[in-house]
Amino acid sequence: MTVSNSSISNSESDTIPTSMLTGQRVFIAILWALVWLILIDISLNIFFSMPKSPLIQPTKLQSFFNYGRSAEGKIRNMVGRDNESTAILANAGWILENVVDEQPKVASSSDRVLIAAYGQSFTNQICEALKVIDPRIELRLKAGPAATVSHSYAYYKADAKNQQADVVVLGILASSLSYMTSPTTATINFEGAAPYTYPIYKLNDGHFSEEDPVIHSIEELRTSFYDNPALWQEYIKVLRSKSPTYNSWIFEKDIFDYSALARMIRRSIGQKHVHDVTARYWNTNGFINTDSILDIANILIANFANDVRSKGQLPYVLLIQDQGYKDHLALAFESQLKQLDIPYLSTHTIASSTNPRNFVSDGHFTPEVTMQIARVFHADVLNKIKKN
Amino acid sequence: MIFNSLSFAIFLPIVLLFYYLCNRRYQNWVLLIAGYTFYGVWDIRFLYLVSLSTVLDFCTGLMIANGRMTMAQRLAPSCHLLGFALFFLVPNWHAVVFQGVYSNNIDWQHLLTPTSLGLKVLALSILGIAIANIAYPYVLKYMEEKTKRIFFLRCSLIGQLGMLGVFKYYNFFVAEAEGCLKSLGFDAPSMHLDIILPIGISFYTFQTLSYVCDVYWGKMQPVSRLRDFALFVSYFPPLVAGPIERASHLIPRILGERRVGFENICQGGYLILLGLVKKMAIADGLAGSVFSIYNASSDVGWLDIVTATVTFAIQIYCDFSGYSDIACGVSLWFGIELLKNFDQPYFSLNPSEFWRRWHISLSSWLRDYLYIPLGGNRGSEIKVYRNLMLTMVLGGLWHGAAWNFLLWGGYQGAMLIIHRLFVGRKPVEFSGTLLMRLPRMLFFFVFVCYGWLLFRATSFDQISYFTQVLLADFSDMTLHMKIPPLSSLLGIIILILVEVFQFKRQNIHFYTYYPAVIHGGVYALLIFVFIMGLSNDSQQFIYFQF
Repeated sequence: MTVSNSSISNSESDTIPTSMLTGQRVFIAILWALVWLILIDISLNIFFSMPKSPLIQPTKLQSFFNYGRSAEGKIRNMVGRDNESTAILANAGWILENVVDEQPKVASSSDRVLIAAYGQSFTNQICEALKVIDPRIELRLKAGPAATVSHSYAYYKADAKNQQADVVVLGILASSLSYMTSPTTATINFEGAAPYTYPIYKLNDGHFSEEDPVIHSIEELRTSFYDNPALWQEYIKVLRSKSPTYNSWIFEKDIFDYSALARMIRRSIGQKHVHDVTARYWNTNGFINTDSILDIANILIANFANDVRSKGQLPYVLLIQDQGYKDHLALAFESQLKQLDIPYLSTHTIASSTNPRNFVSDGHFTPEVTMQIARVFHADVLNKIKKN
Repeated sequence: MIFNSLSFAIFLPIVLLFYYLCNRRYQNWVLLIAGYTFYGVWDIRFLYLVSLSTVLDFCTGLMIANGRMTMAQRLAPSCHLLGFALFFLVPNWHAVVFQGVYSNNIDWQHLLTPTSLGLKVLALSILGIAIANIAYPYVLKYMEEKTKRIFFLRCSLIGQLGMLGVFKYYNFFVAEAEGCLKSLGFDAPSMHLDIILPIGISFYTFQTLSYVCDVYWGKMQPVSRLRDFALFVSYFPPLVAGPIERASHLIPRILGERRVGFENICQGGYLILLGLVKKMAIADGLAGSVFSIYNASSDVGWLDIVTATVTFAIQIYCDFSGYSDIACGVSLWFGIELLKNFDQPYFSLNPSEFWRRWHISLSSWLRDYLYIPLGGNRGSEIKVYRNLMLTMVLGGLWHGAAWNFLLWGGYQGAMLIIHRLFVGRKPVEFSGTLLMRLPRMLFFFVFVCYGWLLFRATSFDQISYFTQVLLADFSDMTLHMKIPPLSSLLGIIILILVEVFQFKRQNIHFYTYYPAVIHGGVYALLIFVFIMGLSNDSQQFIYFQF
């Protein structure tokens, strides 16, 4: 607190001699600012350009200055002419019905337990922790990056005939729930765009239906880029007409992709889009049933449980409340899960989603928390199938 | 409407266009309508409160200074208040739902159905105006000049502070009283009012109070036209988060000739850009990091508390001074220079200097209208300490109705008293170079940061726990705080450079002293960081809640 009665008017030193800000001087300064901005843009494009080969992992700064690239631009960059020149991410998550892989189809012996899980990295990590806890457990994991419930359900349906697991897990991730209104996560999660697709499930006047995503595999995607552009255009057409979360500004490739500064502007538009989409389906009190997403998800869960039970398997739903989502998945699905007597585990009962200590910097649970969840999950599953 | 929004980016050019197209006579009308629009977009109903505040102090100002009002001077406020009640409170504005810049939904039937609150307020306004006009001749006839002056000063103080008290402090004190009664075993009925805090009420209330006090003390003449006074209250750049303009500073600029020169445009543009960088690139980016620790549901360690508190110190400075910079910049485009609100506060070496550099418009207001009337430096040392403490505690309370703000005010008061104990009545200003200042700056910054811990804390338990950890628990030295985005980190580096040069030149427009290539480089760097910051989550200005 100053104690003198000194004047409160602005300091004289903040006034500028008139000659300092003449039109000519400012005009030249603005021209220089433009030159500097062009130099900054060129420098960023040179020093932080994405690696030529999609197989090379970009650095954090390279990723940062490319977050604003259009989703299409990112996907095109990661898909080469053949599998050898295609990024691993581009191959992930595609729903393949008859794929030959080394994952177990049935438990290798009667004292073993095969768990088939359909979800995303969170689900995979929890299931892999199960294996550490109990070596008798065998895993069949089918997942997509940040996959939503409709992807997990569709993947289960496609894979059901390939496995006779004891337990079938459906992993639902809170932050991905809104992705189910689109056939690709890239319309919303455009910063980490992954190209895999899945059906859109819709509920119109009580009528439940499934919409085809047009492109079903990495091969079809490659064809649409290199040999059959009409297929890509058809895909875009479907996105425009069927997905309420589609935004051509952030999805379609254009001239903005070539400037680092323009990409950052696009990124901000993308962030606004993500906020708008998030607010459409979620607020701090919980999920909102816009576009019937909660009704549809409940139908998918019920169908999943019925189908799994009809095969004599144990259905299990993992409600994964990632950072900031409190207990919102439980609020949305718990009543139906209880009503249909579907075994489930909500992670918020073990690890609070509002405690940053439970998460690592990429948003996943810490290994310790993952292990804690897996222990509870393990005890519950063994109890349910009576294999203690 | 907030400065860093798309709606403001559309609003400002429209206002500027009308302002520049109009001649001097109509420019004030443009600014007045713009002010009401700017405020009304937040919640149109609270424009009535702005009107009430305006009318009250317009009338009391005239009565204090002149002892009478002309018929026109009585008619104008009556119409103003009734018009605002009729138009902004009686219709059911909830029927208008804005869904974005381009779309809105109006339910006309509901809109035109009068609200019961609106009708009650309208009736009370009619009653109030009637009583005032009936009483007016008797006041002229029977009240002595001196009594009249004191009576109208009290009317203004009670009215303004009453509004502030009801909307800002009532629920807090009622809740505390209920809590006390309950702890004593009494079952008190809930007297909680379902009211929301009108945005910027503390700012425009203090602004109008300064006017009435200055008129009472004879420091300035009252404003004779309601239109001009209404513009003083609702001039939009500083309306919701300051700087708290002084009547003696702003009113002459409203009444006088204004010229928007090329320098104004350039300086204003730079301040707006700097403010946007501070707010969007730095403060908004840091908000998530601070939140991750101060709103964590579990215990946090020493390093997290220290990092989050320092981060908050930067966040609140950039958030608030960013707003002030934008307000000053926008105002310069209308040819009106606002008061300086920040002067590199973290370069301070002691609490006295800090309060000459931080939120200057509030600290100088508190000095002139509270500290000095309380006795200021006059009298015994004990009295001076009492005055300092009382001023700072009330200054803390100005920020909000919560114990942690009171505690923060008390802490600032204690620092000022301790500083006075050490340096005596006449402190010697440090005259060394910036490098020589640095160790003392950093030392004092530690104390400033602890103040921010009190300010930001979400509960008493948190203050107690954080203090305990800071002083005695060094076991957890891992960092869990969310790492701020690149725009904030780069923005902080650039801000430090800007502030160092600003400090050396003692001029916020330091860049003008350098050749065009550097001058342009400063613009380019700020634009670059601003573009980077565009993708940060937009946060409300912290001081809006005050």
